[in-house]
Amino acid sequence: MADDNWQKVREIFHSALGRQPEERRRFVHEACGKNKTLLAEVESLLSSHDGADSFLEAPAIAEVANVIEAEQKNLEAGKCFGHYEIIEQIGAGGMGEVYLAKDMRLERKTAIKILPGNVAQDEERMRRFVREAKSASALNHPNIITIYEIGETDDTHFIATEYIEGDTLRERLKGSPVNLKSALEIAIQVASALDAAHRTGIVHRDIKPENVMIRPDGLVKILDFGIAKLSEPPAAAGGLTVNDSEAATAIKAYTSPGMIIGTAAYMSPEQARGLAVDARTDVWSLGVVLYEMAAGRLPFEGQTSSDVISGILQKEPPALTLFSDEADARLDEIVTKALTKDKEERYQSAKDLFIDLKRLKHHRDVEAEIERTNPTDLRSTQGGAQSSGISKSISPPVSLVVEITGNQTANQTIVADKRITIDSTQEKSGSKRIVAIVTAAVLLASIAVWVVWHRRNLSWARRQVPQIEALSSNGDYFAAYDLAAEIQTYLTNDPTITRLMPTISDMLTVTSEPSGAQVYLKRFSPDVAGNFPPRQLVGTTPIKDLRIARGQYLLYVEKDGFAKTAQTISGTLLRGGGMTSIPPPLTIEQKLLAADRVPNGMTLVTGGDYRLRAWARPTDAKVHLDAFLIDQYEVSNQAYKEFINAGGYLKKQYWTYPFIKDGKTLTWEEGIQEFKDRTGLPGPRNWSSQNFPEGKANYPVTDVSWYEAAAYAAFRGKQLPTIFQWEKAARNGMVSAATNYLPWGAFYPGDTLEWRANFEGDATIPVDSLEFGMSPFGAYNMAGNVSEWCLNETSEGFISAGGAWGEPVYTFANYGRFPGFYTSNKRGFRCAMNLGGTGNEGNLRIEINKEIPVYSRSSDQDFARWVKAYDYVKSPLDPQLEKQETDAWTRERITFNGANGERAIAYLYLPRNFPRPLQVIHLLPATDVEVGQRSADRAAEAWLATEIKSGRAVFIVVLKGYIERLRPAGYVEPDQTTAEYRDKMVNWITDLRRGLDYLETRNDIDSKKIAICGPSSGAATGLILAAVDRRYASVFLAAAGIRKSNTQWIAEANRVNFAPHVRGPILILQGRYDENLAWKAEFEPLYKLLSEPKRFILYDGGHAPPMELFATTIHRWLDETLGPVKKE
Amino acid sequence: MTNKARPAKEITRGLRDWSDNRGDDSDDALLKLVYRELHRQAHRYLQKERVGHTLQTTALVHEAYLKLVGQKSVAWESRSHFFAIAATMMRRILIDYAKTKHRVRRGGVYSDLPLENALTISASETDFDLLALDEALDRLAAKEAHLAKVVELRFFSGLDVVETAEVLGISESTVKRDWQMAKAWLHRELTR
Repeated sequence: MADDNWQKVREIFHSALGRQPEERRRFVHEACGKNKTLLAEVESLLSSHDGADSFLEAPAIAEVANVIEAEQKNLEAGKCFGHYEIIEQIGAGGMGEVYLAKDMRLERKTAIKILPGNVAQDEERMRRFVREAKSASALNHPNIITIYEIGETDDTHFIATEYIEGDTLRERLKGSPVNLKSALEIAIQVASALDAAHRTGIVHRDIKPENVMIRPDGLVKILDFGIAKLSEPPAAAGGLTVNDSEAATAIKAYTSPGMIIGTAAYMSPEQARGLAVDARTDVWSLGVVLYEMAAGRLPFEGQTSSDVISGILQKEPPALTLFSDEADARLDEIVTKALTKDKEERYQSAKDLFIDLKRLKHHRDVEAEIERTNPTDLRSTQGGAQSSGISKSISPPVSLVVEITGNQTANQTIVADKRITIDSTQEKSGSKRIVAIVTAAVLLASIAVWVVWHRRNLSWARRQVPQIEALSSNGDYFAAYDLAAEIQTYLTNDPTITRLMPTISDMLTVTSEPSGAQVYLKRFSPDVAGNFPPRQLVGTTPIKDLRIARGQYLLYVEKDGFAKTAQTISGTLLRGGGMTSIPPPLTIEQKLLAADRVPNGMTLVTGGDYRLRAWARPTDAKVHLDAFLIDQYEVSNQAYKEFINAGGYLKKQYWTYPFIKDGKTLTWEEGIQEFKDRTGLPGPRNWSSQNFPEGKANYPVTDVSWYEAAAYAAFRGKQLPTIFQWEKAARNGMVSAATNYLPWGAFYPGDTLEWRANFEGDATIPVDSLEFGMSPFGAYNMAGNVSEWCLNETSEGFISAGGAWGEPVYTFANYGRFPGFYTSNKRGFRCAMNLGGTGNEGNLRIEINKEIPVYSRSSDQDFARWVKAYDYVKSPLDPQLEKQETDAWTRERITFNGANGERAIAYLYLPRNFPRPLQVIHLLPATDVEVGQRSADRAAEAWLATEIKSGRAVFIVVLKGYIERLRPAGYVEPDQTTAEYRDKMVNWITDLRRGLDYLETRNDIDSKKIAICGPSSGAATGLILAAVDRRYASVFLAAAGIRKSNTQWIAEANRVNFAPHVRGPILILQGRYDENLAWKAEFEPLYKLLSEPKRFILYDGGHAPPMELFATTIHRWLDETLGPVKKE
Repeated sequence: MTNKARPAKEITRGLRDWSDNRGDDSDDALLKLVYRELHRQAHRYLQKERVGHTLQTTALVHEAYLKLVGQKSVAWESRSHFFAIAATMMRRILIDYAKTKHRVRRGGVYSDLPLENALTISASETDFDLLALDEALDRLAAKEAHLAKVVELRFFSGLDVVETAEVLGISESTVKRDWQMAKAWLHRELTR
């Protein structure tokens, strides 16, 4: 059984590795099914595999050799070593042995450290080490050991330093705590030395008790500056910080294993992870040392080094107060802040730590002084100083008093009384003494007040925790995180906050090439007035693991002399596949181009292999893209006018593609005749006298053909982007299994398009609108506004991508194919510029070969059987109604008993001033409404406002899955071949028919004159509804069709089975270039299946019909089939 | 450096057990000879070679092989067979070295060092301890002996994929897959 599982583990493991990384997780989940043990095993192995690149790749013997090498270096007493005479061995560490020696030339004692051979051999590292050690030494800081010489004798590299008589802190500790006063004094000196070193860019990297010497007079000296760096891979040692991927590469390339570079116990989390380190790693290590001094034990203990490391990475140290009577909450908080795992939340410099330590020491000294002069124990009076003491809190007493003015409390009064007492008892003394006492008293009062203040803060902080939890479960992560961050100032290590942090925050890593760029973040969190908080500078690259609130942002990376970059980033929880999963850390690697290499208004898109990911992609080909630039905005009318003004339509050199119309090649002169504006001059079809519509300078140019777009691009020295370039720039290969993916991230039910994309609008908007709809590469309006011409030609025409105003949001993924001369008011373009690549950048011709199926009519007997699935009991509807009056109409929101024991919802729009009973249009909306991307009432108003105004009622039922009746998070749509899908359709159709039952109860409705209106996906629902229910007098569908794959669907919900049985006159409005439901392969076979009377209207356009055409067509059709609307 | 961690007999017995599983009838003396030769070679390498030079374990084993075959005309089942045995031996030799080192440190002048916290860094993203690896390798062998063998050949004996495939008589792609699996499994054992 166990073996059986092992084989399975192996199989799944290997198959997973054979897949693209992004597909692995899904694959493994599928392959393991419900077997959780198996899943856990495979996932942990995969994760281990990802980190095991260099593991075991250097041969074992090399490691052993290092161990032996270290042993060979021992020097014996009395041996001469250059001009040094060895006296005795005084120590040994990972980086070599240390001897006491006599410098025979200068007649002084010196300490000599012998470096292991493998270290010394790497010249580059030695050079760097020497430079660093010397500069540390040159600091001439009293707490840093002086280096006399760094040299080489007998093939042995050594360092000669000042010899310090005294103990190392290790010896001083001997497993018991140091008294707190000494501990603070030692830590302050270490912090001071570190601060001096850090300011010159030197990081110690190996602060531990062995490296801290204490002279008998109490002076502390830090040893081994820069030495730890020798043991690090070259790149990681190259600067204060190095971006992670570089370091990882360097580590992989570095092959000499087996060095002991430090004791695990003092390592910072980033060190233990093998990541690049900076000054903050020393802060951590000093925190460990301070803890050990105070507690007499290490903060992270364990039997083995890996236990210790796992503690460093995951556990919180036990409170200091558990081990030391002397330690108080203030010390505990300083140590806790130094030992914060996230280095961004740690003390940011040794200086900050130094200041807090000094203050604490000062406070303690003052307290001690007061206690000596006044026997009353302040601290017991104050309930044990439950206070907070991190740098914000341990402020000078004066400012504390100022800060809490007006916060009078009983405690403070007691303190004040005491001060008076002290004053009066001491008044007889000399005036100098009085001043001293008063000063002390003021300090005392300050401390007391500060204690009170912090206790209030602490209790306030505790009360906020449930609020954070509530904000988090509401998905308001910005607010939750901000509050958590605020209360963490007072309340560290709260278990609830610790638990919530991974949900409400993300880690952001930003690197840039070159580094040193400023990074700004702007939150996608509009206030009620629609204003956004200003962007905030969060740091300079490289930024590693910066904790930020989870959410959606604009991120800007800017550096002087380089083109600015901006993009959307999103740490939104990923929903889908039956679960919510925390997204991976946000990692941005931004390449910066010199400002003069990037023309104004263009943005860089990185290269690499690319395959289209949009669900409606016309090809699965993989192409190679070189880095390229793309216009940030669509080409505007203003910009296009420059083309006309420059004689663009007259200069043949821009028109390099042959004009082909209806299969015939035209001459240039013939072709150019096609491009006329309203006044007959060359220009976009909607212009007049070569002028764009007034006030629209900054709007995208529309009504231009592919040929004109290509000519314009040539005029600018650019070209149209290939569809691969376009999609990469728009979504960078991102796709969501659960919902539509848009440039800024997955688009979930209830999400807003406001500030994001112009789909629901009724016209174009300026090209630079909607900055929060920016793509991952900083291009605006790639989704919506206008659909954009791309370079590729297919067997069905030129590609146009991205969807447009007045279209459903899912059209972002639609790639239409249109003739080169086609124009529309929804179609514009932007340009791209290749950066000297060699490939064709995906400019391949795409063949679209759709088989044209022939369906046969299902028999009446079969249909009668299938239709039985839709039988339902006409139980009481129990309708409830709310009315809302608007200028244009009366809107009623009705709830009634629907399918599956749920209350269904419907909206009924009633025109004003038209005689009752009214004709009704029953709207079945498109996919955007079905999946909760747009609400039913908004869809009704968008599609049918003109009909309401012209006197017909409009009715729409909110089905399960629509906004207001959303499915639970993680719901997965059933496969259409299954009984679950049939059940879903039965419930939907039942709700729709119950809605019809309700309409029949109303006197103001003419129940003999109810029509179905179904665009797109609504057409698919309509084919079943109109076959199942005979109460519809007229059927109007748009963008309809049956895909060949639909024939596999379960019989009771299969449109092929139902279409022939639809009753009543039916009209379909269909686009010749429908990119979703192709004319020949998907529309015509459906049309042939339908029974008479039937009709279709073909228009020159894509899937989403133009609104004015839709409105006039349905109006005429209903006039014809239901009769004209009665007016008074 | 002459410290022998384990009586040679025990090693030989272990080797014989291993051989027995393969239905091999090589005599003890021969195995001892191989072991000694490898040990001598390893020792020579480890003592003389400057660290930092690339250590060619393969060369070492090849040298031992040539020497033995040249000295004594023994009919090894095949060259592959020799390498298979040599890999196991190299593992023991090197692990013994590592153990010796630990013992010296525990009892010697460095007793003040918190050794349980001393960390051997392989200068890779992974920290691992040779002795822990040895133990983990035994556990892996219990699951699938074949995978442990691949590790011995690749890591302890320094053979590349092609050579490993040759010795084990399997395809290179199988070696790659086995190596991938073994690494992932061991890496997890050593890091958790």
